[in-house]
Amino acid sequence: MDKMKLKLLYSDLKSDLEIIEKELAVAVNSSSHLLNEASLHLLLAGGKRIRPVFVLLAAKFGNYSIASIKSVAVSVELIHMASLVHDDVIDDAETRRGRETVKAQWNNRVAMYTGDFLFANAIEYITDLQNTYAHEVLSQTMVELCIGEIIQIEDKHYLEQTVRDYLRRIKRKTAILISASCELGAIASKADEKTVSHLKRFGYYVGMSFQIIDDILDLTSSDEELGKPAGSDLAQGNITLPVLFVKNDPAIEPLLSDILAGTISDTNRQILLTKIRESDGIERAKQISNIYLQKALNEVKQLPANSAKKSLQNIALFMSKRKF
Amino acid sequence: MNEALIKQHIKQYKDGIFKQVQHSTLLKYTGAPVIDEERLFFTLLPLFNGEEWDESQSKSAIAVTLIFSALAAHDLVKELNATTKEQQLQVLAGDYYSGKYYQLLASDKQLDLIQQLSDGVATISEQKTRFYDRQLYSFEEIIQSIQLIESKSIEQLYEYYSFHEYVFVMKESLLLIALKRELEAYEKGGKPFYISKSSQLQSNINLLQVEIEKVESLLKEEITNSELLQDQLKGLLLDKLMRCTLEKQLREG
Repeated sequence: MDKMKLKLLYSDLKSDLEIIEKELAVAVNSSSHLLNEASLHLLLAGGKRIRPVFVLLAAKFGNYSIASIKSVAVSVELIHMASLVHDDVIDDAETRRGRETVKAQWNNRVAMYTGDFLFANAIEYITDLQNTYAHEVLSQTMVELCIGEIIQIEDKHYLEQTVRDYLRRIKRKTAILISASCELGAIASKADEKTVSHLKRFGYYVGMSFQIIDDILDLTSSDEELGKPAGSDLAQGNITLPVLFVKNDPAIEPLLSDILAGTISDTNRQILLTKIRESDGIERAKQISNIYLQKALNEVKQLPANSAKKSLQNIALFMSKRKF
Repeated sequence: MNEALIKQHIKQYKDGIFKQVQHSTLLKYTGAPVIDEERLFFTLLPLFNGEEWDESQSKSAIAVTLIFSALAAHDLVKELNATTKEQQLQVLAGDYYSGKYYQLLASDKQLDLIQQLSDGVATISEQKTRFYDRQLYSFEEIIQSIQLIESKSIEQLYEYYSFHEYVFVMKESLLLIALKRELEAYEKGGKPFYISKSSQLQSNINLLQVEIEKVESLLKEEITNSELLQDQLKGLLLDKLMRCTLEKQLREG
């Protein structure tokens, strides 16, 4: 995703995001030299910080004060970072965002400790927010995130899974943390209940749309654009929405079996990707993503008028229409 | 409380914890969560000594045990090539237990305890990493670090519920148990975590033995003369802590 373009969509949050960035640096600071290095390595890798952005924008619908919401924004980003470090162990990933992963630079054990340290700090940070319901939301989110990952492992290589299985999985894997970011931002700023509900649903729909696009891009982008081989999801055994739509196509089926079995050559991988790109699977998946996007935009429409409303709308459109 | 009742409580707690984190896939591939019974015993020590123990304290004790289970699950992830389904799920098992401890305390509205315990988990992770990175230099530093890793969360639970007077016995006992386990595994040719990650310990095994004797004698005196602990519990504690030594002597005998 073009980070610069995205940043323009919430440029009025610039100073507050700088505060969050500084706070993140404080949060990952450790008395352990190695932990410090591993955490900083992650922090410097950047990332879109889209979850903190959603926290801040959602908070604009209540009594916005950066002092009272920064701990929420930091917390959700730390959870995201921690889950990525642990995911890289699960996926045996060597690079992420063009940089070596923690597990590649050090090893799995260091990645485990780093993730545990970040998760713990995330929870500690959000205890600044003395609102029991907010903690129920976040703890439920953390449990659901794990369940989503567990289901993903269960569903690996399983071609008989349904579209519904896929949607249930990405809800937990991605949408729920974006939804919680919006909900928690609104709760922390004491927005009214109706607004909190709209923002929660908005986050969920945007998250669904975003993940479907992410899965499409894994198949349609070049290796260079992705910073890893295209079709990596499939190579890992993860069956995504476009593939579910074309898995029974006779021209695709044998190559699909090969990539899932880990026996595909690089030439055949390119042929498979071309065939998937030429099929209607991509378009059908885009249509589903668009349905979620429209639902997200409908939620925005029902929010009270303010500057954040337009930003939410633009970010949702950008995230769901991005090219890589 | 007598031994039979204590065993019954420990079993009930373990069952409660298993129920709390029951997940068919995790159970199938990673087994039930690792629950260290010695640690659970010390988590519940005030209860066994007749202190008032309400529903919230029960939940908090379960939460603390889940923290240790989460960390233990992650200790089982191999340094390299953790690519099997079992290993992948071991990563998630730890995260799942962590989420569950937070959820349990959030549902019980224990925000201050959540804050303290999470701070403790961050500290434990730091100490484990320092061990791992061989960043602990003096023998005293190493012993302090082991003690912290073994007992920090229970200490926080005690402090939170004002069971301050139990802290010393619990911390020293868990240190003693850990050191004895390490030494025993090392003598059997194994690679226990603390010793294998510390050349300081490896080259000073005799110092470790001296430390064990020192802590053992300190605890013996503390427990025997304690006005806080009930007689039945004193006997049980002494038996628990000295048992390893006796077994070792018999083996060497």
